[in-house]
Amino acid sequence: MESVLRGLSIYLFLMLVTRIAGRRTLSEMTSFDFVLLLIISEATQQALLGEDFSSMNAFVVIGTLILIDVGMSLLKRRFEWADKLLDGVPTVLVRDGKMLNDRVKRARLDRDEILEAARRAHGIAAFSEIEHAILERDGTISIIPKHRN
Amino acid sequence: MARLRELEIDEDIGFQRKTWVAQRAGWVLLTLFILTACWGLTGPSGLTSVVHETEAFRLEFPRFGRQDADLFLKVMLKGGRHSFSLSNDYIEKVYVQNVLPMPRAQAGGQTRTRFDFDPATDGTVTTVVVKLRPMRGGTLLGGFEVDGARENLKHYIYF
Repeated sequence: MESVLRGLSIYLFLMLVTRIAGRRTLSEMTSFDFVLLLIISEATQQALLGEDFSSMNAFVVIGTLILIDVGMSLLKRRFEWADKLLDGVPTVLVRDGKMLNDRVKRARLDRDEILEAARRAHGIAAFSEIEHAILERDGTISIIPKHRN
Repeated sequence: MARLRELEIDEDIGFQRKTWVAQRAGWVLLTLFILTACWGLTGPSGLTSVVHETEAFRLEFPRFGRQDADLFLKVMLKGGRHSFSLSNDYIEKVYVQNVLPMPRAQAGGQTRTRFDFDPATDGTVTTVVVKLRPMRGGTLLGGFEVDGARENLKHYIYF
């Protein structure tokens, strides 16, 4: 029972913290972010297992985490509000070539990051070539270039 | 000439704005959580430790502890006294890892366990450190006694 409660509490805490951190934090990882992720996973591992390093405890913890994850995915499929709450919604950052400054600022982004995404995805050189830019639910920026006849 | 297209997207900017507000509130809460940890409210800390002092003893213990983590009781036995007791209901809920100095004798009773030590070299104060490890989360209550003078031990143990 204790292992199940540990798994549940760690799952919920990590979910809450990643939502608080925002989408951009985990999608655009620098080398240091990667190191940070390793440290977090190490701290989590110790809290999950406690001092019980038996295989059975690991099975219980893994089973708990997988089951909660499946439960969450079912919840998201069943209820739209749960889907929005847990995974967020896409946000338009550039519409019809015009940058929506308030949204960009609140999403902790800037023009350079949108341009970087545009260069990477479509080899776009100038902001004027972007028709739409969307911050997706996973934190990536999708770029739709302007059509040219 | 550039041609604009309609964007088919499941956008909910009202919800997104609420999310941004909630995120910022979350940052504040996380900051407060870290500050409470620095203040000693999430585990053993000198800032939140409890001290009981009488003519017979001085007892210091942390108000907050964590399950399966070390917790220390610091005891000073005064006036040449060299024994104290801990209630059995307390001992049953913790794992006593170490008592320093080592007791000369331990005697279990119906309600409490008594620890006897060699008298201090200067004959006045005997200082004892008990290293414990709580086995369960929740409120941990117990009794401490020196020559009939009792004091309650109360810790909150985080799961």
